[in-house]
Amino acid sequence: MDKRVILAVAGSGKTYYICNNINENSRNIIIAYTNQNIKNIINELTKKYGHIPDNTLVMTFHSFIYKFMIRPFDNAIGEFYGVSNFVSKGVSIISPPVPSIKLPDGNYRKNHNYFPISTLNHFHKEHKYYSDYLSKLILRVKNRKLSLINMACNNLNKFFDYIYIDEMQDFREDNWKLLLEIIKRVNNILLVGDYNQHSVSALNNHGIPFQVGKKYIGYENYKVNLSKLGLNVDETSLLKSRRCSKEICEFIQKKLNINIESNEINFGHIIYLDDETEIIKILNNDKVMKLVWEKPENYSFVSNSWSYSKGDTYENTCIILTDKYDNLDKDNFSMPNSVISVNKLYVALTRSKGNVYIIKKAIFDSLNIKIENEQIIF
Amino acid sequence: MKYLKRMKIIGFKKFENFDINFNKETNILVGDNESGKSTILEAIDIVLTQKYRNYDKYIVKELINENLIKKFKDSPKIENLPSITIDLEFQLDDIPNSALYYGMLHGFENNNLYFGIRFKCEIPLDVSSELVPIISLGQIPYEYYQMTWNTFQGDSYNLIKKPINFLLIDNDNIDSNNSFNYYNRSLFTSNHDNKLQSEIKSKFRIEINKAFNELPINNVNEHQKFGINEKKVIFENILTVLDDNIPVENKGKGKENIIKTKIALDKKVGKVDVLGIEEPENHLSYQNLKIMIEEIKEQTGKQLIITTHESMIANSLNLKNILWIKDKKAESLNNIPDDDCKFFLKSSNNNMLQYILSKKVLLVEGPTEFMLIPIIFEKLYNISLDKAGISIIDCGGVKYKRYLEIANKMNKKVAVLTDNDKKQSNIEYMISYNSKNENIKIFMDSSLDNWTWEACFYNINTEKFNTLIDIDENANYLYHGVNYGKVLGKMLNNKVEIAYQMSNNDFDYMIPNYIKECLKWIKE
Repeated sequence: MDKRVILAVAGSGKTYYICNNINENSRNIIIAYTNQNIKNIINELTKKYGHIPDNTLVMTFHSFIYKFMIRPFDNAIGEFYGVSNFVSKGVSIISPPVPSIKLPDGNYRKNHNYFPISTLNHFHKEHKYYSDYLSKLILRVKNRKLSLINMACNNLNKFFDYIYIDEMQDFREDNWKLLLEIIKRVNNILLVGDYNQHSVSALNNHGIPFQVGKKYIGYENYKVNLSKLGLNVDETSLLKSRRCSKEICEFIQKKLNINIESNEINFGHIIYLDDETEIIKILNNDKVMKLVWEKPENYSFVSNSWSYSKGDTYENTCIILTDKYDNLDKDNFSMPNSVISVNKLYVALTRSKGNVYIIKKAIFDSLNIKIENEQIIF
Repeated sequence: MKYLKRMKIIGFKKFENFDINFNKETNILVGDNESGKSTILEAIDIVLTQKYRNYDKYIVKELINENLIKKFKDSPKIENLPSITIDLEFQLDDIPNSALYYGMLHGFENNNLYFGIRFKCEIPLDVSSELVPIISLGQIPYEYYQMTWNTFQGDSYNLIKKPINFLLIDNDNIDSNNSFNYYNRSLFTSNHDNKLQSEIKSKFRIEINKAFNELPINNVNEHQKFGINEKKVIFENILTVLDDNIPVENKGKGKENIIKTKIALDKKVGKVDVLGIEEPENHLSYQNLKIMIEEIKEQTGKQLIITTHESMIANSLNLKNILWIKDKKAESLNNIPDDDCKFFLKSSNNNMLQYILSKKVLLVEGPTEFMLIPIIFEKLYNISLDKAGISIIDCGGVKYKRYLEIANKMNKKVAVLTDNDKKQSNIEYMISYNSKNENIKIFMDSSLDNWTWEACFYNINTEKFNTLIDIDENANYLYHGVNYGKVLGKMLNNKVEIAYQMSNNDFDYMIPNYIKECLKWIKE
């Protein structure tokens, strides 16, 4: 049995590590949360082996749990809820209905599309399971005679020698609870994630394992909890960023108090921009990805948001700060209280193979009108 | 190894509700005519290769079980609409890509997980509810039937990802060109992976156009020229298999089947996992059949499902591998003792299949009895043995005890008509055997004076035989060195000839009691 978790830093090559550490002849499944990650994994595998090895599958988490942990057991799930011959027809990404709807007058009325959790209809619409409820469903189908999680994990052990989970920090609440049950029951599993990138996505950004109630439990407690699951916690294999330079890593250590080291492959600098001409030059340089807090579509220059840049690598980046970070360059800078905002900045700072240009919010705002006016020229 | 494990057929052709468990390697399907042997091969073909997928809906009428149609007509309701379900379970390796086939969507033990594919042909419930006016008149709206193929996991079954390569060598004469082409195609696809197939086809298309363009063909006029109709040169349609440069389909059906089988069995060629062969004896000479059986016996790692009427095939491929097709299930003969199987493996000329398939059997020990018993029976009961549902089998020198071992496992009624051979121990054996067995009885005369068929008849018809049989006064007519008197001596030395004489006259001999008892018991 080999159950491991590797805590990685941004740009340390998590996907690369997984793809290069699988045994080509074993029966493997590599699971990631987003389609973008799936593409990266497939690319990496193809680079290494020329094709995806015969007995290796790459799947999104939802596809994985539907195909291996739910659909084979449709009949038993149906019977559990008193529905005979239930056959599902896939997974729907629409949001499940809420129990009650707020009316304009502030009162609530019952939602007729909502079904109580004790019924199978709670979990599906027209035989398509709600993707949000897949994990919950697996955890709930359990009584003296039958345990879906047990059956499902037997199924995993039947078809796979190794399970690999990329971006484990994206698993929250029910998905994380399900992952815990899987970890307990399967033979070999390797999870890779970056603690400091949790809560960055638009979805899955609250609850366990990073929060108890509203309170964040912190890195040390998180580590202890992982060990308690019987996982070997590896903090060294992916400690060094292949992407970010030494200067950038040291900057992050100092300012955000996050332990990240550099492999010193790249040599980019942190460069604050305050000269107007310089700024406009950078903003109009399409080879520099501009990273803004939100709504990149509002800007005419090439840009992405801090959180959506997660997983991406750029040649150079230019971060437009929010006002919380206006004294980032000062020695007396102290981190804001918002864990989410710190993690998002961490993501933004770790995207560049080259330089990271930084523009303070105040300076950017003063230029804003001008830029719109000069758009045509540039 | 990939192989078929079992199949449940509901509502298809002959089978209203039928179960069959396959042997891992060899399966010899036997049964009466019309018992549905080839329907089983067809059912596998439907499930795995999606036969009928592109047929006109009207074919459904020919596929649905007649009993179900009758039940519907007697009580025309939506829930009585006839439908077909075929569940085919198989064994696959536990690799990730097999998981697609593993699940609970099947008609076997509830909530158990198996690998398999389910075929359904039915009117979907939401459609049928709109057809109530038609249905309540007792009409079956065949054009609304839908055929679906799902893996036991619930995914739709895609022929491109075939989990098991099944090749059927059938006797379809109606459209032999087509059936042969189907074979060629299967052979081609099982022999080339998808990527290679696409490469070949694409190259073929390009090259044929190139070759055509180099021909000295005149243009029609300034704007129009001749070209190739690509719809007519589809690669699969022009495929054939050459055997020493002669297309196999030109070699006659018998030779064709031998070659097809040979190719299918060839380890180097085949990714064929399961090979179905329909009644090979229909097109093969006895000698060729033997050659084919030898080929089959040498193969390993492939599952074979063969239908036959020919005892030689059943014997040579081991009686244990027989699956006896009955109305509701296929009964395996795998509990026949090894020793007996080996024995029958060597003696290929006998009536083993007839023996297995008959409900009532009369076992006799030689040609005399074989010739006369039917006459005696008809004399006694005014009905032929055949019509009474009794088969008579000449053990032909094989000890009847071998046959009884097999009957023991099969719950059939067997009477053995034999001689006591002047041995008290044989009589005692009979008494003790009969007291222990209900369905199998041994009959022989209980007096040592009546030690053989001829003696039994002579002793109660002495006068008749003395006038009937000419004897040479100078001859001794010793039988095995013993003098039994001249007439009986001649009878013993010329058993078959005497039997023939007896059969020619109107049969008015006294009949020994043990024979009467025997025939009475087997007729009951």
